[in-house]
Amino acid sequence: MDIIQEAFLHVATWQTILALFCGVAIGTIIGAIPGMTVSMGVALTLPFTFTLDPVTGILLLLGVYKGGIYGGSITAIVIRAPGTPAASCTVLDGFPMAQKGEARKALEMALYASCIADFISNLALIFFAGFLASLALKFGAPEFFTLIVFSLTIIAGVSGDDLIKGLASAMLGLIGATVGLDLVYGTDRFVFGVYELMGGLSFIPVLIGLFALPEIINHYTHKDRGIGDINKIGSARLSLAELKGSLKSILRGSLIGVVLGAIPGIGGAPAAFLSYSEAKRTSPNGKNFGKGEVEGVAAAESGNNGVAGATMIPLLALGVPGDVITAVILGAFMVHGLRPGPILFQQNLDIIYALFMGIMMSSVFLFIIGKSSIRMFSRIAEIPNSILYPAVLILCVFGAYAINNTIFDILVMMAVGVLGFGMLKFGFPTAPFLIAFVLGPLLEDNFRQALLISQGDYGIFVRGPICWFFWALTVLSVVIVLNRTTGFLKFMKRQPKAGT
Amino acid sequence: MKFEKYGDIAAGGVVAAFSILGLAYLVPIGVKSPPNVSVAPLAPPFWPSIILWMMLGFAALIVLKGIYGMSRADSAGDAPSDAEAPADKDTDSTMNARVTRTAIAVVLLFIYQAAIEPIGMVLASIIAGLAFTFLAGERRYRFFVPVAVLLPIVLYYFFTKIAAIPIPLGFFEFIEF
Repeated sequence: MDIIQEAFLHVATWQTILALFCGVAIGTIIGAIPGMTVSMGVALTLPFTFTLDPVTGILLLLGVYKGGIYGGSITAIVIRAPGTPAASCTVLDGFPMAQKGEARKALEMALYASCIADFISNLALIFFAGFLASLALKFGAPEFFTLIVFSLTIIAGVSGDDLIKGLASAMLGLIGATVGLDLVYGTDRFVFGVYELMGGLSFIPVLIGLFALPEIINHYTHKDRGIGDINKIGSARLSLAELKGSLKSILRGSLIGVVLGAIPGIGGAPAAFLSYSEAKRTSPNGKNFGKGEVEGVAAAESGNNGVAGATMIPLLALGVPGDVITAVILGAFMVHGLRPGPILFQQNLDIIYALFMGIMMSSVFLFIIGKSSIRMFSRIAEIPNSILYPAVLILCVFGAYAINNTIFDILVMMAVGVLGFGMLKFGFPTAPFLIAFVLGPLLEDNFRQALLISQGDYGIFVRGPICWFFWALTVLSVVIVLNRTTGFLKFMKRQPKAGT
Repeated sequence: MKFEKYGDIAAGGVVAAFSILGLAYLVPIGVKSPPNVSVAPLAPPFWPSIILWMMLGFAALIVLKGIYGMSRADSAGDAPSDAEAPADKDTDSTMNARVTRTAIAVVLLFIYQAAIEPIGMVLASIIAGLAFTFLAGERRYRFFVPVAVLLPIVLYYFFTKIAAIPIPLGFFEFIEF
C-alpha cells in the first residue's frame, strides 16, 4: 500500500501531468505529419527528459508514443497519406468515408477505437506483463516464420474482389523488400551500384508513394478535375449504435494488438491488418469493407493501438526493447540510472506503479486531445481538391526526405507513386503490396535463420506447439478464403451425392 | 472501351514480362551469391527467384482470367460497344486531354525531384506547388499562390528549426534563414 502511495505521489505532480498532456499533444501532431515517424518524435523529445524526474521524463516519451500512434490515423483518413506505417490500414475505409463526406465520423471512430484499445492494452501491460513476456520468450525463428506465414493470409482479406491480383500485388511487395544487402551473406541484391539502395527501400517513402501519390496523380485524370470540389465534412457523426456495432471488432482488434505487441519486432502495421482482416471475415458488414465502412476504421485502429501498451511488456518485464521506439525509451530509463527488467520490479516498484498510473492517464488525455482536435483536422477535408492535392504533394516530398535526409527517397516515393497509379488503373489492390513489403524481410530473415539453426532441416518449422498452432490457423484461413472465393466447401459436400 | 476489355490481359502481361525479366536478367546479374553456400535455400538468389516464379504463376492466371472473361463476354454478346456507350462518355478529345494532363503531372513529378538538388527544396516546392495547382485547373490566384508559397517556407522552418533536419537549399545554401 505504501508503494502505491509513493507511486501516486510521483504521478500526482503538475509537472508530470503537464508533461504527459504535452507528450500526447506533441505525438498527435507529429503522427499527423506524413514522414514524421513516432520513433522520430520520441527520439527528438528524449533530450528534454534528461533534466526531468525519471517518471515525468518517461511519461513524456510515452505520451508522444501514444499520441503519435493515434495521430497517424488523422491524415490517413483525411488526405490518404498515413502519418505512420501502423495507420496505413486505416486508409482502406477511412479515406472512402472522407470522400463520402464522413470524415468526422471516421475520425471519431478512430479516436474511440484507439482509446478503447489503448486502455485494454494498458490493462494487459499491468495484469499480464509476466505471462505475455514469458510467451514472447518462446518465440524463436521458426515460430516467427509460422506467425508471419499466417499473417500473410490476411492478404486475402484486403485483396478486394480480385484475389489473384491481390496475390500478384503481394509478390511485387515481397520482391521490393528483397532490395538491399543480403541478410545472411551481406552481398548485393538488386543494388546495381546505387549505394542508396544498399539499405533497401525505405518504408515511409514507399508507404506515401503507394497511398498518397496515386490519389494525387489520379486527380489529373478526372474529366473536370474537380475544381472547387471538396470532401465535405457533412453533419454525419458517429452514433452510439455504430459504436456498439463495432465493439466486437474493437475488442478483438485490441486483443490481437496486445498479443502481437508483446512479441518483439512485429509492430503495429501487421496487427492493424490482421485485426481488419478478421473483422472483415466475421462482420455482417464485411462486404462493405474497403468502401467506407466505419467498422473497418474501428478494426484497423484498435489493432494498431492495441500494440501501444503491449510493446512495453518485453521492455519492462525483460528489459528487451521490441522496436525502435521502446529502444529509445530504454535509453531514457538508462539515462536516469534505471535498468528495466526483473530487477526494476524488485528495487523500484514505486516507479513501475507510477508508470502504470501515468499510462492509464494517457488514455484519458488521448481522448481529450483527440476529441478537441477532430473538428480542426476534419476541416482539412473542406479545402478544394485542386489546392489540397498539390499541398499534400509538397508535404509528402518534405516527409519522404526527412526520413533519411536523402533526395533519393523522394525519387523512390515518386517511382512507387507511379507504380501505385498503374496498379490503381489496372485494378491491383495496393494493401497486399504494403503488407508483403512490411512482412517480407521478417519472413525471409526468420526462414533463413531457422534453416541456419537446423542446418537445412525443414523439420524445424514444425518443432513445437506454437508452430503447429500457426500452421493450423494458416490452413484454416486458406480453406476459408478458398471457400469464399470458389465455393470450395459446397463443392466438396456435393461430391458424394453426385457419386450416388 | 478497349482498355477495359483487354485490361486483365495487359496487366497480366506486364507482370509476366517483369517476372521473366527478373528471372532471366535481374536475379542472375543483380543478386550476388558467394560460391560456398552449402544449403540451397540460404543462397541469396533463392528467395527472389521463388517470389518471381510465383509472380509469373499469378500473372499467367490473370491473363487466363482476362481471356476467359473476354470470351464469356463475347459469347454472351454483351461486350460494350460504342453504340451502347452512355451519353456522357468521353469524347476522344476529352480523353486525350486527360491522358496528356496525367502524363504532364507524372513528368512534372520527376522534374520536381530533379530540381531539388540544384535549386533547393523550398524554391522547387514553390514552383511545383504553383505548377500542379495550375495544372489542376485552379485559377483563383489569390487562394492558391499564398498556399504554394507559404507552405514550403513553413515546412522548411518546421523541419530545420524544430525537428533539426537540414533541408537542402541548393544555390541558396549561402543564405542564413
